[in-house]
Amino acid sequence: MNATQPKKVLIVDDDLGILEALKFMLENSGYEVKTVSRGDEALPVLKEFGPDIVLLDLYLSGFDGRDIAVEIKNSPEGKNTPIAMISAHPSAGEVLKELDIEEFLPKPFDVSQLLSVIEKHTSASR
Amino acid sequence: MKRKLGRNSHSTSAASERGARAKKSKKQTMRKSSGVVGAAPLRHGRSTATMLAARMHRQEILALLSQIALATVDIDVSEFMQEACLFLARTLEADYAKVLQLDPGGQTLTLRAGYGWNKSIMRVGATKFKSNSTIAGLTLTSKHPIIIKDLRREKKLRGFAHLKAHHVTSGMSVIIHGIRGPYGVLGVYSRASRSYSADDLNFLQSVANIMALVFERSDAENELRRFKYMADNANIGISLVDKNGRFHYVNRITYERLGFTKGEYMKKRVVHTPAGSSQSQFRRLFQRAQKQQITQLETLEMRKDGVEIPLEVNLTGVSFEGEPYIFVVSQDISERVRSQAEKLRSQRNLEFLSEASLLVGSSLDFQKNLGKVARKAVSYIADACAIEMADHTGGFASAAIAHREPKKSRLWRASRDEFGGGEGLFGRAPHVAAAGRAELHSHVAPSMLRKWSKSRSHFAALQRLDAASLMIVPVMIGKRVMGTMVFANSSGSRRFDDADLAIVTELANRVALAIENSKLYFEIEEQKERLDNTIANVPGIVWENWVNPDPATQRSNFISDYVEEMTGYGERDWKRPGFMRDILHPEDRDRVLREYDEMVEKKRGMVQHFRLVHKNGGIIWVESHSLAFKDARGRLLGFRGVIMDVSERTELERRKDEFISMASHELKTPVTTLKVFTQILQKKTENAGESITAAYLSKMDAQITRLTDLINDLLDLSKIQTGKLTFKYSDFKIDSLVGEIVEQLQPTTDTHAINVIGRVGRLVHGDRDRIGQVLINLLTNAIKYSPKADKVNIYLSERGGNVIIDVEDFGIGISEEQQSRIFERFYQASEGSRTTFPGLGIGLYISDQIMKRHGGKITVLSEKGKRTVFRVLLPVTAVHEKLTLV
Repeated sequence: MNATQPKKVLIVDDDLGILEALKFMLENSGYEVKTVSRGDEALPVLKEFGPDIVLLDLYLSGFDGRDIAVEIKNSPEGKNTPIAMISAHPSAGEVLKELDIEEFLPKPFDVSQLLSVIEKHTSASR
Repeated sequence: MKRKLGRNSHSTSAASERGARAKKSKKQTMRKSSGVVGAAPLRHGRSTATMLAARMHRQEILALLSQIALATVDIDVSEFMQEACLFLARTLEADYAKVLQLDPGGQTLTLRAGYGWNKSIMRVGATKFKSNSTIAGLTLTSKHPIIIKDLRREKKLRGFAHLKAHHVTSGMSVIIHGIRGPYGVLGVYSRASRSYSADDLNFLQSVANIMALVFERSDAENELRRFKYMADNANIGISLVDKNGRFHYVNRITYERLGFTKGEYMKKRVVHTPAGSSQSQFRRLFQRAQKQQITQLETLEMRKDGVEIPLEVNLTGVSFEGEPYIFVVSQDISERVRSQAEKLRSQRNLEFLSEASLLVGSSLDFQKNLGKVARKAVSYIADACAIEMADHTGGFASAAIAHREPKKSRLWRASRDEFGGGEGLFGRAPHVAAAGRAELHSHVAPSMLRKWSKSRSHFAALQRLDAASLMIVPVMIGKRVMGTMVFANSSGSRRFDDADLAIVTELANRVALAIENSKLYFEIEEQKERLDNTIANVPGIVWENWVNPDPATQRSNFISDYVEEMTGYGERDWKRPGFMRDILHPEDRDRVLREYDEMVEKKRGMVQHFRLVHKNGGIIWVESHSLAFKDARGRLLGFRGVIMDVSERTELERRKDEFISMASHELKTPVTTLKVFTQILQKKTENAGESITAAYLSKMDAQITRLTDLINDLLDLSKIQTGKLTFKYSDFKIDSLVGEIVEQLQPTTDTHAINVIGRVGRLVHGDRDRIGQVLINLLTNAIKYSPKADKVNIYLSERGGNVIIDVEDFGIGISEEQQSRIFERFYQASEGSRTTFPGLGIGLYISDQIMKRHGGKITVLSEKGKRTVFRVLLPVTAVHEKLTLV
């Protein structure tokens, strides 16, 4: 792996404000970022973009983040991609126990918290 | 003998204390007697008797002695004997004469009287006479008089050394013969040789015979005296009546018990006495007694004051000198008659009490029962009975009235109608009620009636009622008087006494109990109806289950009608054992049954939430409240409770939860964006060296964090309320948790230093995040409520199996009144309107709930205006309950 190549982060969230803020923040921190606001776009973009980590919102308009996570984990391109689920839902923590995902971040979170999570899952691999 | 001689001299020594009166009469007799024989005037130094003896002819002596013996009343036997001995000694020229008396046993001779020169010689022969060693003894055994002409020539008497020793030469000895045998021996003795002739012996024997007469008379008199004494002191009447019905003898009690003197009584004819009440009856009884038939009868004898005394009389026929008499022995049997009457009365009283007691509760119509009781009373113990019950105004109103005579009954009723209101017919009801004690007026005087009456016409009416004897008894339980019962006897009837009062008091007690019972009965009926109405209107199932004796077969004992509306199943289905189990929602069944077992085990009801399956297949959410009921010994009998259909509420709650959860989600989403941009800006301005802007952005970020916390609090509150607050338990070090929190909070305050004092080495078990949440809440409060202080202290310690975390501030404090309320939801401590501290006031409530769920607690200690310490107690082995309802 080329160490100088920026890490790729795919953000899936239906809230455009979050998408914009995170994109801005992560790009400022040296990541290459792609954002998706529709659940059904997540997998195609992932296949094309090949991110090092996916930040996935639990509840998207019309889509369930859990289905998307399962889809990603079942795809050859995405089965090794770490997923950090982010959600403002109160019982999201409970809901995600049964899913095979790497990380969960309740909203709202500190920028530093997010950065350390991404750092943790992107530096070790590749 | 000198004493005796002095009797007629000027000496007064003769009067001894014993029988002084008897002696006086005898002296008079003796003097009189002396007069008869022409006694000479006294001469100095010589006794009258001596001179008389010397001069009197033997026939005169015998006549004198006989006269004394027969004519003297209460003769002094010893004195007589002594006088006679003196006459004998002088007349027969003997040196001494003496009377030896045979004792009642007939074994010994005793010196009774004597005259002579020597005292020791007088006692000779006073011994056991059978020895034959004395003249007297010999006389008695030989049963013949003895004459000794010259002792020296009497070979038979040679052994009588005592005679020789006293130089006795001649003598005579005769037996004093009585009707029933010898009284003793009379003897005369002389030191000179006397040729006693047959005449001399005759004279001696004649004196002995007179002596026998004296002995006999004395015995007879003594016997009569004893008899009289006994008769006068006996408790029975004794009298002797002749064939004409005249008394010849009556003892003291016979007349005294009737209030007569002896003279008055003796004048009565026997027909007015116990021996008979008419001439013909007396004759018949007299004849029957004469034929030796035992005649006993009970009769009445009138006392002097007119009262009749019952007597039991025994008549015995006797005959004196050919004349027939009857002995009348009578005994006062008033006591016996009275006790028999008493017994009869008490039997009747008991009979009355038991019959009246049956009537008291014979029906539920109490007025009717009281009427029956009153009528029963007049057929047993009183002429009239009135029952007056207290009404709600505190007055007394007639409830029943009865009189033995129908006519008077009407009179009583009329009086009651006119005067009976308020204070009762006799105006005594308030007094009796106030005293709580029965009144007995054995003799009702007009003055009493006047005092009791309200008016002149009332007084007149009371007098017409003819209540000569009266009892007024309170009908009461404890101190509560329900009424009074009045019992009256007319002037012709008997007067009431304590025994009557006792019986009517007992009756009143029973009446009171019966009234109370019937009142309770109606009250229970009323309550039951009220309860039934209430239950019928409860929009839920009211039920009662008996688990006794076997919880396994427990079944519904009662279930309200609403059950059908709620579940579609009727009462009959529900009363089938185990029915509830069948209609429990399958997902809830095991839990609910387990909870029920727990209720039985703990003997405690609880609140349960579960689903039932309606007959139509629908699901009903219910809330069941139950309460255990136990017997007097604390054994569980069963449960009672209400099952409410909370489907609608449950649905609403679900929607509310959903809404809160959705709302918090929706709120957090923009907050997240806000937070990210703020932090980006903060970073940028910092990098650009715009430190003031960076500081403002930092404060903005903190406010966003606070906003997040508030949203989280709201969410927690909702979870607590619905019992959905979950915990993630782990073992952790409390010291490091505290360290982290201090590290996190210290930057948020410029004013307060957060000091940690002490440490707890061990691991504790609990939800690390939640306990952290509690500590953050307490610390932020401590800072918030101590605006003028510069520090907050945390003390860590371990005591009694608890980890203790004290959070101390030096702020406004919390008053005692507030201390008990700060853990309530939405409560906020404040110092009045001027100084308020913002916040939702739910932090402490959440903290308290969290600690309780850990088996611990939070307590507070505060001095107003000085300091406040919140103490968190966390058990080292924290209990973590399962998810249950709070």
